[in-house]
Amino acid sequence: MKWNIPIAIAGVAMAGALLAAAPGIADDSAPAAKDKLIWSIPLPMTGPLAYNGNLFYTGWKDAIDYLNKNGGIRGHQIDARIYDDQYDVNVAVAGFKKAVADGGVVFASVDGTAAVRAISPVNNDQYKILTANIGNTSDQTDQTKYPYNLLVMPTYDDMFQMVLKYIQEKKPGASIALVTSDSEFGNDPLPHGLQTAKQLGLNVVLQETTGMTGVDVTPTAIKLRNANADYVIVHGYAANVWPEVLKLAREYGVKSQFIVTIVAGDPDLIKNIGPAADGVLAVEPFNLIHAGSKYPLMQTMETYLKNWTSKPTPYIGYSTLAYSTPWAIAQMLNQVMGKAIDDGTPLTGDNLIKIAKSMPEIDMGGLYGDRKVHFEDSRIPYGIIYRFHVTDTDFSMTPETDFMQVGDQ
Amino acid sequence: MTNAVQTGRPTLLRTKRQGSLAAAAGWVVVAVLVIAFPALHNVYFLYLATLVAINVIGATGLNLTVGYAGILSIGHSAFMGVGAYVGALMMLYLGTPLLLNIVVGALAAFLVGLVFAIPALRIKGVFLAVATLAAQFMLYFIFRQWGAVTGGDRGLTLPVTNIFGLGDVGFYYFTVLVAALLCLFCRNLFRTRVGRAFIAVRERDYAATVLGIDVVRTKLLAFGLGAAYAGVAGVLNSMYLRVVNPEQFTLTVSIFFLAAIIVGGRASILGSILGAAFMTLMPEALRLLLDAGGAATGRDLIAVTSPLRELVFGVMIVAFLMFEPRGLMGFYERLRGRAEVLGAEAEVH
Repeated sequence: MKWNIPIAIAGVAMAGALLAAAPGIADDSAPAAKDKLIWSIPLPMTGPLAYNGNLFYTGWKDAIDYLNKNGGIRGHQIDARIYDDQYDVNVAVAGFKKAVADGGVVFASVDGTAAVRAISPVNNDQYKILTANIGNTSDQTDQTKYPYNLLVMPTYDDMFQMVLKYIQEKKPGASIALVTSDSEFGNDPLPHGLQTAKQLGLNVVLQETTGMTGVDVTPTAIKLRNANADYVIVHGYAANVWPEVLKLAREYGVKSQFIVTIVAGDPDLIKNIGPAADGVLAVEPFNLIHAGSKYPLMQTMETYLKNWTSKPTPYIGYSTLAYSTPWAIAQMLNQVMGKAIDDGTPLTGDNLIKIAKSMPEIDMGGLYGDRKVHFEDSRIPYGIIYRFHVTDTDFSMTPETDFMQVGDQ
Repeated sequence: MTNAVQTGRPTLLRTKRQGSLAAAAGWVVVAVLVIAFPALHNVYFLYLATLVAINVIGATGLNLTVGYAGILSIGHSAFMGVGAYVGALMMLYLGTPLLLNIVVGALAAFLVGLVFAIPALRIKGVFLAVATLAAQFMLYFIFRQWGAVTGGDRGLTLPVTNIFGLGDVGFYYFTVLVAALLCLFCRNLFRTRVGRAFIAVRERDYAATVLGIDVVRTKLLAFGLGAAYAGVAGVLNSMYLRVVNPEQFTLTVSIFFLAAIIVGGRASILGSILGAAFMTLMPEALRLLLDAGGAATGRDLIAVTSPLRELVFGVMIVAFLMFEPRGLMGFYERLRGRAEVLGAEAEVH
């Protein structure tokens, strides 16, 4: 007997196919419960965003558990197919293809901007499934590129607009320093933000860009001291870099009002920064205050949060963006799919997107406060600014504004 | 043993003939498998198979540079990016067909590769690795910052490439064909003076010079050819995903290809194929198996199995480095050697 390269290739190909096929075939052959609604949910459980991925995971698990325990959507239980996409585009597309290959999927969550860009072309042409992205880049309002995608939050442009309008109302003609990360996340709202600042008569005195992780922030802090701006808008960071910028700037005597955006305004993160973060403002899409909330859904979420024993930091009365986002998507889907089922309409992407965009008032159960929200260009353009109160021993956050809608401030 | 010696020539001929027949049969099996694969009617498997074929092209190119010519490169994905952007721009603005996009994308990557090969003429080893790292970051910077051309962070979105009117199936066949042709080209290259010069330069460039080999030309060519392969992979990847953006061409992707040839086997076409298949399929297979295992227990284990998969995958790569530095190709050679010994014993008896 002699071994040959083609035989080896064939063997590997067969083994690979069988290995990959085994569980997939098992999925195909499993009797699909017809009354279940299949949601495909990729999450960055490993990779660079693993910390957030695990928060999202618990959010999804709890939100779906809550829906299912309350009868699902019009009696249809949710079958969530959660998988780890490692925040890798190729893996995300593979997961999406697996979801459609397994069949029956009526909704696919999308893990971030790069993934939605890779999935949308093929989804637009072939599968036409309703998707919801968890990234906020501003191009998602482009209906021609993302006709089946929804964003249950404002875009970065929207958030910048809310912040700038807030500043203009507080202090007309104020000076602003912009500190952003050198990433798509950081760069995204700059063109629109600079234009808006100019229109509002605000004076941008410093534009500073840093790495997203692991940089010496001393030059940035010195520039902030020299700029002596009324406000410092910090955008494009998660848990790294900007806390050091803030602490060092305070040590250098910078008195500017810091305003951070979205992920950087995570209450757990702000609490860990300590007293340097006292008075910091953050623009957020959702109501993150659960303690003492009057809304039943927010109270329910609080119960889940209290029971979350493996939470990295103990529950202190507030949620995080990563935990709340799945709840918001689930609430939106509950109403949109519920209406489709009521109308006897098939749950296709075309039908669902049409219903979502035509609903004048979507009840998000307090996630947007008293606001009944609606989609505009595929996103929900509402948000709120919070103020953090931080001492060595105490932490709290209070609404600095009501929920705002971009355009009506 | 005496009988075998006495009948040595006919036995050798018979063995060769059997080997040729087995090889032919093997190729037929490969061809049938490849052609029949889309019959699974599963877009997921088809996607993975196409991805493997694209990664085989990329890994073969890197193996050409690193494995055969001994020029360490950790900027491979940047050359993929050059091909991807050039192909995408041609498609968008000139409406050129895929084949032409591939040729021009490869040529562009080849030329850019030549530029970044210049340090390879003076430095080696880890120093060269750092120089190629500079190429990675410089090109990545250009992809991100030259927004007017590359679309910046948002990149470019491409129209569908429908080959033979077969959609994804057509693209799969086309990609596999291109991968096969490029592997064949690479295999034949090392039967020529040019290819052997790569190996001579890798082993000892002073000795190669004495033998009359133009070391400068050889190194430039080896680096350029590897980059051209990356360019082809880049064009195909962008056309398949219909999107090109800088995040597809990061250092992590370069490391992916480097890991593929280490796991598969350096200086080996089959090693490139095995390595690319392993690196592409194994994380997916582990994910599916661990998820299925979690589901079988009736418990929600994804939070545990996800990091476990990373761990298992990492351990597998380390195990290769420790126990079989020649990679999967080493395993194959061992099996083959064992099989030949068994075959010879069978002949004797």
